[in-house]
Amino acid sequence: MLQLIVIILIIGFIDLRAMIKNKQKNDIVCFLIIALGSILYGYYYTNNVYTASLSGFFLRLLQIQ
Amino acid sequence: MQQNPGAKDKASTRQLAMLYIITGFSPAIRFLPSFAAKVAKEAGWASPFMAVIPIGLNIFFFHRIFSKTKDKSTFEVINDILGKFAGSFVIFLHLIWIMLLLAFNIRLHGERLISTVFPNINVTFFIVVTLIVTSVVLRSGATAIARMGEFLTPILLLLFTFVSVFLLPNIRADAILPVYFNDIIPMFKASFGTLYLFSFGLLIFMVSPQIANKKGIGKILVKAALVYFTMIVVLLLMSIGILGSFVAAKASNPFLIIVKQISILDTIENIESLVIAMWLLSDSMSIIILSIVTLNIMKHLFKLSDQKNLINIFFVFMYIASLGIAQNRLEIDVFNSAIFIYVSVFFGFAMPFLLYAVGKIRRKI
Repeated sequence: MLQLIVIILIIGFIDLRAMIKNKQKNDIVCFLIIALGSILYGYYYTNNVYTASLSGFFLRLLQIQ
Repeated sequence: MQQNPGAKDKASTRQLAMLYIITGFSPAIRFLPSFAAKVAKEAGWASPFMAVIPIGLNIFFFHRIFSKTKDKSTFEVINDILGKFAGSFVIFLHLIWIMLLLAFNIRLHGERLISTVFPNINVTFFIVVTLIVTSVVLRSGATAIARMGEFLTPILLLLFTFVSVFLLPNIRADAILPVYFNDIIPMFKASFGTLYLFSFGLLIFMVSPQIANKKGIGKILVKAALVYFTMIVVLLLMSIGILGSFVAAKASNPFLIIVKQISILDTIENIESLVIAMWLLSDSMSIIILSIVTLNIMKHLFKLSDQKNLINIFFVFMYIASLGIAQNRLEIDVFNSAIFIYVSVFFGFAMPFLLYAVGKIRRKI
């Protein structure tokens, strides 16, 4: 989880600088949403490695063995 | 040679047709033989013929929707036909579908390598390498990727033909016959596997913001579909005809198993490395194509100035998504065959029909 946040910060430092310099507002918002989504999903996955599975969720929902 | 100034970042319909083939090449080899054998048993090789009419209709819809749209991008065409709100909603649904497809492809690419060649290596290694290579390639733009597809597709087809020449004589008639009338319903069910492979048509039109030579789109797609269809039928004939339907249904990589049996003049053997090379090429290309489509959709939907800014963070997200998509290979296979192929067939066939029908009613096409 910590490594993920460090990678996102490094990527953010490189890419966000260019976007802020060019005043690309929509790009910045999209970037932040994806970064936040990555952190949240990464946190959820790290803490539920054996149960967090999108396929498993849909298979259980539809009761397919 | 003077370059057409309007041709920058334009892919031609011929290049898109090649991408159409290469996107479905890897799932064809990986998934179709065991799926067809499991559902239709020895009649599985004939199941693609049940899919001919829907595929033909799909190509007809693409021809009618896109042939007269000249310089409009695919997203503009969809918004024109459905209206801005409904068009954006449909494109957003496609975004969700393609991201799931991409996560599956990335994960399956790694899983297949560790289950066949590198059993002692963690799948995350292959996922990270694939994503790094893809992020580098994506920066070159849609035109370069389309040209890469134009170059790689004939090579893949040639490799497949080379392997087929040595395998076709080993087909046993008792493994593929007889096919009775009561095989019709299992063949129909198994044809969804073939339809799944042909469901990436609309995605291909989203690779490039502009497409050159749209007038001949119908003819080019028909030729590409014929080549691809022939490849699928030959693949099924070889897999089911050599292994038998029972073994083909249970095996995780039937095509690799039959290729291992090839022995040329009792001297040249172990040419399964050719199949692995085909996998790697086609998997990489399909991941690249799906990635560029996803980024193009995001650029259109969220009014981004340049999608290249998001490549790095997008692949960080896809790395986590590909790990979280399933716990193991078995779960992926069950989800794919029970749910996802039908979802993909809906997007691949029902959506173009919807566009055509609404376009006709609103007199947009």
